[in-house]
Amino acid sequence: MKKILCYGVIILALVGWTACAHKPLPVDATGVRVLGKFGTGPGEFNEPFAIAIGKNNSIYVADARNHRIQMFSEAGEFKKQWGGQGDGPGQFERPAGIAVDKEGNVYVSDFELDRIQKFDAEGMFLLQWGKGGKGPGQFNSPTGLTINSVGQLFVADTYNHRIQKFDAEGNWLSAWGEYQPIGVIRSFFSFFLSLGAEGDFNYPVRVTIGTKDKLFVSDAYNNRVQVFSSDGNYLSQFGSIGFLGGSFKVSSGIAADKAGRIIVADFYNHRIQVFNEQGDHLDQWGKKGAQVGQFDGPTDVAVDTRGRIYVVDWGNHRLQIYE
Amino acid sequence: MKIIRLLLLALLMSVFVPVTGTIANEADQKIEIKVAGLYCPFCSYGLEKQVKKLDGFKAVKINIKKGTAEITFKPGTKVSEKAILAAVEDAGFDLDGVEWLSGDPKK
Repeated sequence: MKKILCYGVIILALVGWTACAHKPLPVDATGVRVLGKFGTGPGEFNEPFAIAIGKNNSIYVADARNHRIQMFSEAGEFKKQWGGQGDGPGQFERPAGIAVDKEGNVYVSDFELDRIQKFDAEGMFLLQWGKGGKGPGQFNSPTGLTINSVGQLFVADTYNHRIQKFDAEGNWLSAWGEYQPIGVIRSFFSFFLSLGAEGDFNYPVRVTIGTKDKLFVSDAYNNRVQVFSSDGNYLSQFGSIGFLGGSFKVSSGIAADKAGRIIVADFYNHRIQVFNEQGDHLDQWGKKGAQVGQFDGPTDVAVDTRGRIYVVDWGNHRLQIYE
Repeated sequence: MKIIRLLLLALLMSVFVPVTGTIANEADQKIEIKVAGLYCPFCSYGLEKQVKKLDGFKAVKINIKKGTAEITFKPGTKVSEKAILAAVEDAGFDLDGVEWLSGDPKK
């Protein structure tokens, strides 16, 4: 009997040790996982700003004020970081957008240096392009990045109020959009007034690819999402200013899941909203705060292959992960 | 004896006056600007980018909740309110006000 008890204790201890060794992220009662807190150490953030999911659901985060990219495993374990403040190859002043291609290469936009850098999956610098300006291939504070099925990179050239398209080597392909703000009254009454300004922008900040390589652009200060073909042809739009479901107070991060749903971070309403590709409002959650499930200015979202939604909770210096 | 005391006093003053004078000259100049429409990091980073280009720039603290930016300049900088206005406009905002927190050259 004693022997059985001893074996039982040993097995329980082993099971407990194995569970601890994997260090799963803390999960609260609602199933939300939190990753990171304010700081400069590995796994800590100072204004995390953008996120992308790479191979094996590895997580890449642009840690803006720490001037670095941090990489985590799918389980949320810190893997590596690279960068550091500066304008040399592999350094950052303000990493503001991030995307990963099929090969696992990582593209990072730098808001202050007006350039895009390309790294391999481990953070080895490969190439860079761009400088400040309005010409083709030049930028004025680039932020959001996304890549379509044929490897073309789309850049939200935020302060130039346009989208630029490049190949995987940084060769310029096309650009579209001009500055065109939509008035608050027009936006508020968009249910019977046409928003107009199709194909133009008022600070486009984030981009994502949906089904059939459609490009979804978060047109932040027009409080809407615009949809384009990968060739830049305008297709549709949804959203307006407000606080009701389906409207925004500064649309920010945007991501698409496998089912074609579009997840949009609503910065000043401190919430996440879900739409179908036609722009019908499906779901929403979150409110202002620092508790789990609350946000302080979400700036980006991503979805992994398992359908988990990652939210960059900028003001709370953390990620929140929803099953 | 009186002469020695006076000499000592003069010596002390010669040591301390330049030091205190240096401290006064080396004080940072700080201003707080009020910016309309400063709501999110996409904006505050844009403002920060432009403000960093100002002559004598040292540091900036932006408070998007209050819509303000506290800019610190290196000592001795001739701070130009016109240049600040241009920086704010280049960042896409309107300047709603400038308040000197320290080092106002008019005072």
